[in-house]
Amino acid sequence: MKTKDYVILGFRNLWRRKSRSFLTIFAVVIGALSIIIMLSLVIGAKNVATKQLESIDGLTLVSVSANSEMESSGNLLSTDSGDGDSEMIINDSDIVKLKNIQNVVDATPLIGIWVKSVKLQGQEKRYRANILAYDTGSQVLKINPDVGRSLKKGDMDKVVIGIGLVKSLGYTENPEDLIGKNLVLYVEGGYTDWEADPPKPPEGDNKDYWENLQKPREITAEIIGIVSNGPDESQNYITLDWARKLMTQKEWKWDDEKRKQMEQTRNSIEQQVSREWESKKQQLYAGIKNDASDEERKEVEQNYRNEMETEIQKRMTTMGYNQTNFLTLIKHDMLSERGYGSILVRVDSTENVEKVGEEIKKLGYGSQTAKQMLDEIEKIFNLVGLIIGTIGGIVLFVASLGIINTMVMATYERTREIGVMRACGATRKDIRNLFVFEAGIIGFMGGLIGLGVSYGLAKIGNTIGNQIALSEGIPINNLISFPLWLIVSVIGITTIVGILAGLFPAIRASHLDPVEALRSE
Amino acid sequence: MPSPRENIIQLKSVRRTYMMGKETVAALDGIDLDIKEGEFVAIMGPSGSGKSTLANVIGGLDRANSGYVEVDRQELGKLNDRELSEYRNRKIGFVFQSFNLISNYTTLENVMLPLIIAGMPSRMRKDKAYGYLKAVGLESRTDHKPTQLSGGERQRVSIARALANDPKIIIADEPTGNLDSKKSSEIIAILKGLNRQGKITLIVITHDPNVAREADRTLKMNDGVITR
Repeated sequence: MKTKDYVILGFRNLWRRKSRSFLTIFAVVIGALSIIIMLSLVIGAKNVATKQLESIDGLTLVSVSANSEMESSGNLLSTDSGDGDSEMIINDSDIVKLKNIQNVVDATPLIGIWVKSVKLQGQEKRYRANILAYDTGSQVLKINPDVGRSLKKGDMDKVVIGIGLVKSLGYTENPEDLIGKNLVLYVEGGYTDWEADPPKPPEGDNKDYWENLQKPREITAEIIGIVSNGPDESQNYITLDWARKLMTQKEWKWDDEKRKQMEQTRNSIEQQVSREWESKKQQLYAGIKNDASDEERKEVEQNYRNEMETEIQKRMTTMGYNQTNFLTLIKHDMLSERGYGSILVRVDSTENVEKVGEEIKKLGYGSQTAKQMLDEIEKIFNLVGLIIGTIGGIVLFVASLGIINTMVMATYERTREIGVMRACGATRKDIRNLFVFEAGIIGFMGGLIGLGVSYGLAKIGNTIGNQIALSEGIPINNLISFPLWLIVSVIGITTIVGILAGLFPAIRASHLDPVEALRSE
Repeated sequence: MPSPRENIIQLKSVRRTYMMGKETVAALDGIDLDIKEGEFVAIMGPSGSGKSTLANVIGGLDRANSGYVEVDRQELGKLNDRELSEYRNRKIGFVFQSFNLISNYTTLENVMLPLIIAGMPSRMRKDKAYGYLKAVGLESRTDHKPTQLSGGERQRVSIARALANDPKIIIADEPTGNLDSKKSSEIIAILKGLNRQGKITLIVITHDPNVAREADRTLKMNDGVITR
């Protein structure tokens, strides 16, 4: 018999028992699905991690944090300095120290700027966005926009946005149209040094004033570039210089020193005036008639006091005292006070990365190299993959029992047919092959349908996953991928499982005595 | 009678035994038989007399335990499974009492079965199978399933299938057993035509004296031996 005929007959024989064949195939589909999910997760995670690292030449980068106990975050661009236990802050002196380590090329602080949301000027919808500030003059991070220009030292209110935000804004088709448009950042809390001074607080407790101060305010930034091949699609970039302004907060403070000083001045002026006006006071009091009522006496006294107060105020004004002078604008440079989120260090070659990482740890910082990060990610995904893979293996094993069952039943049902084929000249091998092909087709179809289903699931999963990743700022895009070898090996595995499962029933069928077989009912 | 012909089938002291529990039963108990090429032989006898076993041994479906079986200059005892299968495929056509058509296949496909097994290309085997269906008068039923045919039609399909590979010998095991007398004579007429015009050696097992009358020679069997 020809191979082609085995295949055609195999399909036709399966079609005879549609529902049974479908159920048997379905079990294989489930097995194939689990294996595909396992493999594609493992591959996808590796792809994402390596892609991210390649795009920023990441294998020679070391991420430095203040907290030496810091856990691996899996993200080199993390600006999270860990839990606040650390007494240490990292600032410019640390950058100098790090730059002095042998084999270190350069270092830049990384500052995550917190904004409530962003929107395109003129549009309504707001989006979440990560904004990262770095030293554009350093040799560490090279963010090269594919549209527009890159950031220059001293660029204020300029932003280079990632392709993730471009997608959110709906400019995937024509990203160049975004260049020159303004991005509105919503900030809340303390006024930044980039904004106008906050309004002065009125005297006393004024709830409205403080509430107004908490409302989100708009800061606009011009989009000057779009980067699609960055380390992280969801990241947007600004200069360190602007970040310093944005990270400096302004607030009005009552000046107690000045107020005390004024109290003293006032007291001395009051004493002076009362001394000078002593004779005037005497005259006034003398002018009071003996039979004057208490009210009249009080009125005179009050007039005198009012006159004196006016005089005091007059003199104080000439000396330059004023109510609002007690308010002073205080600036908090948060970067100096709290330090940088983290520092990213560029090492001259990959061989030295580990050594530099150790060196940095010795100085008391936390350090994380790209390699460690890759290892971390791989560890997690390999574990997840192993679990799913084991389940897949078990499911596939159970599916193979299903195939055996189906094929044994088929040989029983078709015993007479086997006899007829033998009478017509079919060899044992022909009979065996016929059933083996049939079982192989079950496996093949299971693998094929499994791939089709998982391709659909992957599309959905990636769409959802990308959205979540984008909004949560996780640097992952199209996590699930389908390389050709995966497709080939999955179909290969399920087909082989089918063939192996079919072998026993097929051999049994081929050894039937033709005479007996023809006699069976 | 045509000119002297060679023996196409030679059996010498053929025994075929079965184990029935602990007892050995001889279905064929020393058969000596010569059948000439183009001969029409009818085999009669009560059931259990060994007729079918004899036909199966000659047709290569069954093997003798001892003795010598030679068909068309091939000694069957020396053939392995593949060679014996090829022998059945090329030289023998079987026709059964219960037709033994594959119910899932169409008439044409049933006729093509020996050709599929022989590995004939699809175009060729279709043409050939169609030709034989036409020969048995069923060319209008090529796409019917066996269940849509009458008993006589089914038997004609199975004759077309037996003919598909141009065999030298057709072995028919009670081909009219399930048919009424009118259909029986139709089938016998077809088989006899093949024997006379096609020079095909014909072995028919039958209970029907009318069928046996058509044969060149009738063998009677009882208890595994040929009695006449």
